[in-house]
Amino acid sequence: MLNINLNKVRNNISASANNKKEAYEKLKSFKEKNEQLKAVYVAKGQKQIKISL
Amino acid sequence: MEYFEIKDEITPATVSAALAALDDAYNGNEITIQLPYNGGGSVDAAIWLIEAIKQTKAKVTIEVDRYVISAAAFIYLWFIIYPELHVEAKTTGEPAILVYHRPRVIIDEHLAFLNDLNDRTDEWETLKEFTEIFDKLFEYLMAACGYTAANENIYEYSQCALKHQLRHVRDGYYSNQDFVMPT
Repeated sequence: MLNINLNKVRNNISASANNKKEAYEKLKSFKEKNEQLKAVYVAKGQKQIKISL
Repeated sequence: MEYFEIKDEITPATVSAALAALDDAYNGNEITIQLPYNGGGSVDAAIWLIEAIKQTKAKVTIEVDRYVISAAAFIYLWFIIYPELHVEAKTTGEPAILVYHRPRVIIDEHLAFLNDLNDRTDEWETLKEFTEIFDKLFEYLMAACGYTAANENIYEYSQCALKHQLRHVRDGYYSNQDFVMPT
């Protein structure tokens, strides 16, 4: 385990407004691709497979 | 003030009440979303929650407690790294543990991370995009911890070659191991 507490370093994090905008665009793009992937799994009869966290 | 406790896991069912409240909120409403001992779960539910929190008219507090793993860690880190004026992400004040890892596909109880696959597989493009999102958050976190390229250098000690602790952390994460951090 990293012996650095997130609460003590969180103020060092500096994502710009552009970085944030790109992150949301990438999230949206991922969602669309993930729906297409789910459709592929359904077509192949593999509904139990999915990207997981 | 409305409270929603999303404990144990992130699923469409466990986030549904919070999503409805976030969508229906008016200016001046306050919503607290508690994620106590949360082990993560659904990709879809995590993204729905992130988008609903960003778009809501309410003032939102995200509160983690005990352990915050995987999808729950993703939600928490998202609002620490990409902050919103109307959102506060914090702990209860008690120590908690964050566990973060790269996304993967579960196939017959086997885990496929991006570097286990190739560009001919169905999952490649989708998992690549999601992995890049995760890696970006991780790199912001490493930079906040003080990581620089110099941390890749080997440290010599009594004729032994040692790695910096932040290099160990990065090597572990990019080898698809869990990254664990107190918060």
